[in-house]
Amino acid sequence: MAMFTELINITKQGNTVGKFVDSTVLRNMFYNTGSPFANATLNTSTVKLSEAVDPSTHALLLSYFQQLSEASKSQTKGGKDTAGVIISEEATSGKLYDTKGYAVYELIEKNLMGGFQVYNIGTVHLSDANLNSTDNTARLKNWDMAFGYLGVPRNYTATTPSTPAFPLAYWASYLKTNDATLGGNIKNIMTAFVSGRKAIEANNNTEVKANARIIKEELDRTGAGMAMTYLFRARKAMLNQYKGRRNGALSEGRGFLDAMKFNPSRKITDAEWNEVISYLGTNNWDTSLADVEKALDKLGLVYGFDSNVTTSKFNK
Amino acid sequence: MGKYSILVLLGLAFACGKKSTEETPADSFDRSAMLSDYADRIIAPALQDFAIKADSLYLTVSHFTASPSQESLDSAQAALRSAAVSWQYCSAFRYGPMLTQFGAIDVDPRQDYIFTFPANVAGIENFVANNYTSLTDVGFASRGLNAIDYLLNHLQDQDTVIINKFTASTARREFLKSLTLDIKSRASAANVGWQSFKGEFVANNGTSASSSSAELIKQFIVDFESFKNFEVGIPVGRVFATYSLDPATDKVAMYYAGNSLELLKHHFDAMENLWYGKNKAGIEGVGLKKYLESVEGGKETVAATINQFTAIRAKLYQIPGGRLSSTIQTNPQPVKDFYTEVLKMTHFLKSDMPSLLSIYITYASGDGD
Repeated sequence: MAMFTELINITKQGNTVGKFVDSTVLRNMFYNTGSPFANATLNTSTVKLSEAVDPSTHALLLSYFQQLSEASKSQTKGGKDTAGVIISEEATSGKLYDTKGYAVYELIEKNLMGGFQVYNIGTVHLSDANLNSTDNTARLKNWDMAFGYLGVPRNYTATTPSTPAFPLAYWASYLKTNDATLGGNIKNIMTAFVSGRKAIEANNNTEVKANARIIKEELDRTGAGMAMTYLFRARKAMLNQYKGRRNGALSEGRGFLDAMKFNPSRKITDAEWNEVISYLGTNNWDTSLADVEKALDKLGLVYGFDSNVTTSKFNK
Repeated sequence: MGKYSILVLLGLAFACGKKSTEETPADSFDRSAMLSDYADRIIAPALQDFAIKADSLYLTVSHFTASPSQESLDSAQAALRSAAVSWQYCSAFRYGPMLTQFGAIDVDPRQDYIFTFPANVAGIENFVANNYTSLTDVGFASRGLNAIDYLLNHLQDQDTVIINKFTASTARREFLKSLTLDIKSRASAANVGWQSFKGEFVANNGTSASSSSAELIKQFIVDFESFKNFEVGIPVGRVFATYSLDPATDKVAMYYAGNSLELLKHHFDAMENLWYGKNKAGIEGVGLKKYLESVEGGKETVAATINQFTAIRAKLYQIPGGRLSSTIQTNPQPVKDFYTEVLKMTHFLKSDMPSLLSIYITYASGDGD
């Protein structure tokens, strides 16, 4: 997680006008080579982020590193077909966008939230193969590792504040956004982690698997809920004629849709996912209000989420 | 994800969750008396005045939209100025019902329903063009007093242009009315809500992050930062919130009415009064000043803070009259000098005060934008 955080922090440097982000540094962080980390203990560690990330997404991430680096060479304000920083309207900070209006660092972050965090929780440590093991010590270790990848405090609740000692980032932060709308998914996840561990100790495999399923499904709902929220924000930014915030929200929405793909218990089928993506297109500058509303309707339909602008609690 | 960016801007030395100290101070200071004084003598009258001014704005705008004329526009413009002045005395009160009605400004982007600036001209025109009367989709910079400022005032004071636009467009009239109704409703709800909430406010007399003292001080500091950065620093090119540190003269408050300097003076008075515990008549009660004097080392900070208030005031009143946006273009040095003095106050208010009072402060963090 520390390597993940350092890498993301470097990607964010591109959000400062004129700040170059070297893709070699990002690549070295990914493979832990060439002592790229500020935290020296990470440089001497045998752990490599690359070995903990879903192999199927390595090529995409490396291309994003390159894409981000290219965009960061820009010395001008971002615009259609022009990479560069756009200050978010009403805000004091901005984001670096590529020529197609994607905040690439958001895509990297969300793809790692999926390809690193969700992948390790759902596909690696809470896999059926691991949960079927008769070695309870190994099962407990896998269970605890899965919890570690979520990146939340042990006593995490919907009201836990972010502190310098334990800053809430990635899923730990986003889980809170729609917690109430999703019926208390933080509590559901935390309870499932506790109950599942007890079930391992009690050798109740049915319960272990049931709780693992809850964790994966709740994470899937969280990802889908955040995609809804960001698409609503994109819609609102469009109505307010805010190009920076529109592209920022579309980037984050796309990122969460990407992250959902790493969940083995995802509700959305590949065909449905492709349909949502097709509405959003491949260039944020060309995405229309109608496109976003179609994507919202489809995603809402799949997950049973309200996509009505006026009534939806995901619209925040 | 921009969740910490406001903290970077504000330079909050004790950012999210960091506390000055955990221990409850071993003092005999009566925080309930202080909170009660603030609740009744300072906060309640400010909210009441704003509710009255917001109501007047709604009424004059209703009259103007029903019958656009120079006379009705003059009334609406005057009511807007009065409401903006009145707001300066409320902007630091964002807890309980006011947090709901006024919104939070310790996040980036800020969520200020009343006084986000500069106005989002393209957004406002889009909502007018599409006949919006519901504000559900209307962003913070397309609503509030500064959006109304854009609709009611003209940079070159060409009122005829304004009157003609409203005469020609039902949608423009209806959108403006919706904006003023929203302000009126929020001001009224805050005023009424405070009457039932203030008992809880006074009773919450500890020093934890959720205590009323912590909220009072935190929102005071956030308001001070807003004054420093948004009302002065960004327009004069001393705070980086654009693509360069060039002056952004169109980012002053109430850009179109052009009374930014008047508002700065009122806002400064409001902040100084709040620190002293003075009401609008200048009568001092039990405020943060007395609270600071009650703790070890507090008297030195009080003296330093008073000196700095004096220095700021001196520089503020050296800024030439007229439109602040024009002054920054033609004669920026007095505004820069003023900003420098405001900046010097930061340490006393943000670091020394919470530390001396052992106040535990946390700042909001959302999921970002």
